Amino acid sequence: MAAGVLATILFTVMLILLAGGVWIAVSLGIVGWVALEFFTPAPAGSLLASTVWDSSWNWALTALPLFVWMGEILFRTRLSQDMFLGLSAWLSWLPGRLVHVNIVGCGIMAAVAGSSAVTCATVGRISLPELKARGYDERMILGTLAGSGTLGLLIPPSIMLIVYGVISQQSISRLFMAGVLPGILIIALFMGYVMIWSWLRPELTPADTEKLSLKEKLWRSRYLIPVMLLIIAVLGSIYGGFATPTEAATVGVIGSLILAGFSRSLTPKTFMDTLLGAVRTSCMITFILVTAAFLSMAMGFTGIPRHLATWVDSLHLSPYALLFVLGIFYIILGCFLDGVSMLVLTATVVLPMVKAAGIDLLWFGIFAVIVVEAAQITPPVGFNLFVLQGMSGRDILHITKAAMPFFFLMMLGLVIITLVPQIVTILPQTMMR
Amino acid sequence: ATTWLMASGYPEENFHTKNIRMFIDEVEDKSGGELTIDLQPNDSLIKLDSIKRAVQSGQIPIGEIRLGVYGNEDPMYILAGLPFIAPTYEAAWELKDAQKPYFDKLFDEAGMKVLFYSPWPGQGFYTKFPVNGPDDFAGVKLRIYSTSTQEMGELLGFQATILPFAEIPQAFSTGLIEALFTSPQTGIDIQAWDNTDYYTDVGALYSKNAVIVSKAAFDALDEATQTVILEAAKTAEKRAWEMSEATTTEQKGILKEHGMTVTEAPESLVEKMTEIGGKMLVTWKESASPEAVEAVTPFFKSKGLE
Amino acid sequence: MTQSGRTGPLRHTLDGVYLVSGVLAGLFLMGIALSIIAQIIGRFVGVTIDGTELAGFCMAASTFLGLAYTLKSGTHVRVNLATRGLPAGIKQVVEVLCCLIGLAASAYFTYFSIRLAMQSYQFGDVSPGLIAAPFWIPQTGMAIGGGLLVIAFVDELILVLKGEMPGYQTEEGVLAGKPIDSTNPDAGMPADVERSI
Ligand code: NA
Ligand code: NA
Repeated sequence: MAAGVLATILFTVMLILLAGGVWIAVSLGIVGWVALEFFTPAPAGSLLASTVWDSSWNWALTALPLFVWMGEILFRTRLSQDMFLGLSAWLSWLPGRLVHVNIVGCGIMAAVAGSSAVTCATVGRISLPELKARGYDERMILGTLAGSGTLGLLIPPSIMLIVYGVISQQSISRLFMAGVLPGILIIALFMGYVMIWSWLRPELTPADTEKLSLKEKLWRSRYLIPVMLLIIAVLGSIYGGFATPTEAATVGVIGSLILAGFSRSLTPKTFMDTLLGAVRTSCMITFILVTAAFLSMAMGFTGIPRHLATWVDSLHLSPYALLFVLGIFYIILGCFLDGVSMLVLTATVVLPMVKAAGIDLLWFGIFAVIVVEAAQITPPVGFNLFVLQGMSGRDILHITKAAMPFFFLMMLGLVIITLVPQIVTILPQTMMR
Repeated sequence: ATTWLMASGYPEENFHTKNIRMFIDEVEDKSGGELTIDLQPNDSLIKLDSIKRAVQSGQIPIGEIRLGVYGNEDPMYILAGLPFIAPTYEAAWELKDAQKPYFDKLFDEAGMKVLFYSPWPGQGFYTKFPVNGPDDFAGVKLRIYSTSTQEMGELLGFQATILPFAEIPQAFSTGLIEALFTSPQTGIDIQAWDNTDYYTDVGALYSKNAVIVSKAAFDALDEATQTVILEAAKTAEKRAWEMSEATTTEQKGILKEHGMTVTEAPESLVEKMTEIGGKMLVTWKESASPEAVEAVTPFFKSKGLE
Repeated sequence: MTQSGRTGPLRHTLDGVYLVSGVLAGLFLMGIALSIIAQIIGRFVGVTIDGTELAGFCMAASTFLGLAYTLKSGTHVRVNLATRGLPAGIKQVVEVLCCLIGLAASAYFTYFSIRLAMQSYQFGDVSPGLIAAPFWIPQTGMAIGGGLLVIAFVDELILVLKGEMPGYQTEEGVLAGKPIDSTNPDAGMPADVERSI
C-alpha cells in the first residue's frame, strides 16, 4: 500500500527531527514540506506561505491570545492566589483537594472557549504555579490539566463541533447540546480517578493543616468574589446575547484588568509584563498551529488520510467493529494531525461509511470529538502537551506520561457512550422539537 | 493522461458539489480517461476564499469559487447580489450572459479561465415571527455577511450584525441575532429550524459560484480534451440552473418538513426591496468602472433599470 | 534576555531589536482587543462595525513579529529529552544542526512570504470584508517577522558555535529549574519565576 509506505517515511522524518531537538513548529513544517516537495507535484514553498498566512489571521483564533493575556493578568495579580485560598476552604473534604480545581476550572473555561489549547493555557497559567507552590504532585497537576483542557472541544461552544456539523449536515445547536452530558461524564470520570488515586496514595496530596469552622469558611470565601464576578461577566456576555464566544475573550481581558486595577497590582511595568508574557505563550502556540495547518494541508495533497479511510471501508465491518476500528484509526491519525484536519480530510469516506452502518451521525459527532480530544494528549503532535511543555518547562514525554491515565479515561468515556448512547442523544431529543 | 487536483468549498450533499461531480464524470468519460479530476470538496484541500489565488498562483489547476467574495476587487462581482436586479432564474441567466465577456477578460488577464457559472438559489428571511411587511423588520437583529447585505438590511430597518458563519448557532441561541437573510441551502446547512419558525422567500438575488481553471493547465491539454471540457462545462452550466431551481423547491420542502412556515414575500416587501435595489444600483454604478457599467448596460436597458 | 555576560554594541542592538519586535507584537495583541471592543460597542449603539478582519490581521502581526522574541526567550517548545544527556562535544554538533535547520527553514519560509506578498500586490488581492485591505500589507508583516526569525537563528548559531549559551536554551518553566518554596502553602510564586511561561 503506497499510502502506508509514504506515511512511514514521513513518520520517520518527524521522529528524527523531534528527537534531535528541532523546534516542534519547525519540525511539523519540514515534514509537510517533505511530503509536498518529494511526493506531490504541488509547489511546496508557495503553499507553505499561503497556508501559514491563511491560518494565521483566522477570526476564531483571536480568542487564543486574549484568553492567554487574561491568564497572565490574573497570574500577576493576587487574584489567582486569592482564588485558591478561597477554594481551599471548601475542597478540603474531597480526596485530592485542590487538584480538582484543574478539572472544574477547565470545565468552566470550556464553556467559554471553543478550543482545547485555549482552555488548557488559560487554566494552566493560573493553576500550575499555585498548585506547585502548595506542594501538590506534579504529575497529577500536569495530567489533570492536559486531560481536562481537552474539554474545550466537547463542552459548547466548540470549534470542532461546528466543523463537524457543517461537514456532516447535522444541526450545530443539537451537537452543542449533545456535548453537554458527555462533557460532564468525562469531568466525573476525571474527578473520580483523582479521588481514587489520592485515596490510594495519600502521601502525594499535601497535608491539610487547616481546620476551619463554617463561619471561617464563609469568611474565607470573600476571596472568591472577584474571580466569580469575572466568570459571570464572561459567561454573561455570551449567554446574555451581548458577545460571541470569541468576543467574550475581550470581556475577560477587560474584566481582569479592572480587577487588577482595584487590587492595585497594575503598574505600567506589570502591564507590559503581562502583555509580553501573553505574546510569548500565544506566539509559541500559534506558530505550532499554523505549521500544523500546513502539514495537514500537505497530507490532503498526498491523500494519505483518505487512502487509509478507504482501506478501513474495504473491510466491511459490523457497526461495533467499525466504531472500534475507526476509533483506533483516528487515534493513530491523531498522533500526527490536529483534530479539525483529521475530520475534514477523512469526512468524504468516513461519514458515508458510518451512515451506511446505521450509526446516528449526531452521536458519531460526539464520539469523534472525544477521540479528537484524546489526540490532543498523544505524542508526538499533541497540542495540550506542547502548551504544558511551554508552561511547565517539563519535557514532552514527562507530560505525556502524566497525561496517559486521562487518555485511558477518555477511552472509557467512549465505551460508556457506546453502551449508553442516550447520554449523547437525550438532551437534544428532549430540549428541541 | 493528466490528473487535476480540484478544490471546492461545499459538502458532498450540496448541489454545487453534486453538479461538479457530474461535470467531472462527463470529462473523464468523454476524454477517454485522458483527463481525470480529483475533487477535494468541503474546504478539505484549500479554504474556499483562497481557491481563486490558489488557481491563479498555480498551486492547483482547477477550483470552485464564490464570486461574491471578491466585491472589493471589482464591483462586478457583487452586481448579482443586489436585490431585484435579476430576481428570477431567467433574468439571472441573462445577467450571467451579460457579465460573461467582462469576467472572461478579467480572468484572462489574471491567467485564468471560467469554465461555468452556477447560481445559488434565491434568498429569503429566516425569522421567529411571520413577515407581513417591511415594517416588521424595524430594530430586528439581522445577521449579514457582506457589504451589500448590510446596506440592504439597514435600508429595511434591520439592525445589521456581521457574524462569521461559525458563530451563527450560538448567536441565535443567545439572542445576539434574531434573523437571517440567506438561501434555503444555507438554512439547511445550519438547520435554521432550530432557531427560527418562518422562512419568507423573496428570491430577489441569485449570486453565483464559478468553476475556474488555470490557463496554463488548460493550454497544456490537447485540443480534443479542451473541447471535451468546454462542452461538459456548457452542459454543467445549464444543469446548474436546473439543479438550483429544483433544489430550491426541494429545499423549501425540507424546511416545511422540519416545521417551518414557508411563505412567499408579501407584495409590500417586494416593492420596498425593489426600491432598495434601485437605490443600491445607483451606488453600484458610481463605484464600478466605466467598462463594467458599459458591459451590463444592455442588460439594464432590457430590464428597464436605466 | 541573558545569553552571555559579554556586551557589545552588536549584542546590544540585536537584543534591542528582539525586544522592540516583542513589544510591537504586544501592541498588536492589544489591537485585537481594541478591534473587538469597537465591534461590541458598535453593536450596542446600532452601528455595524466589522472588527473581525482587523482583529485577524492584528493576530497575524502579533504572531509573526513575536517569533524571534519568543525564540530568544526560550519559549518555542522542542523535545530535548534525547539530546539532553549527550556528551558535550556531540551535543554541540546537534545544537549546531538544530540551528542550521531552523535557519534554513525560516529563510525558506521568509523567501516565500516575500513572494506571497509580492504576488498579492500583483494580483491586486483585497480582503473580502468591510475594511477591504490589500492583502500585501499584512502579509509584509509576516515576511518581516520571518526575516527577524532568520536573524535570531543566525545569532543563536553563532552563540552555539562560540560555545556560549543561546537564548533558546534559557527555556525553563514553572516546574523546572526554579525551586519553589513548598513549605508554605500560601507562599505563591517567587518573583523571579516571572518570565517563565
Ligand atoms: Na468549549
Ligand atoms: Na496527538
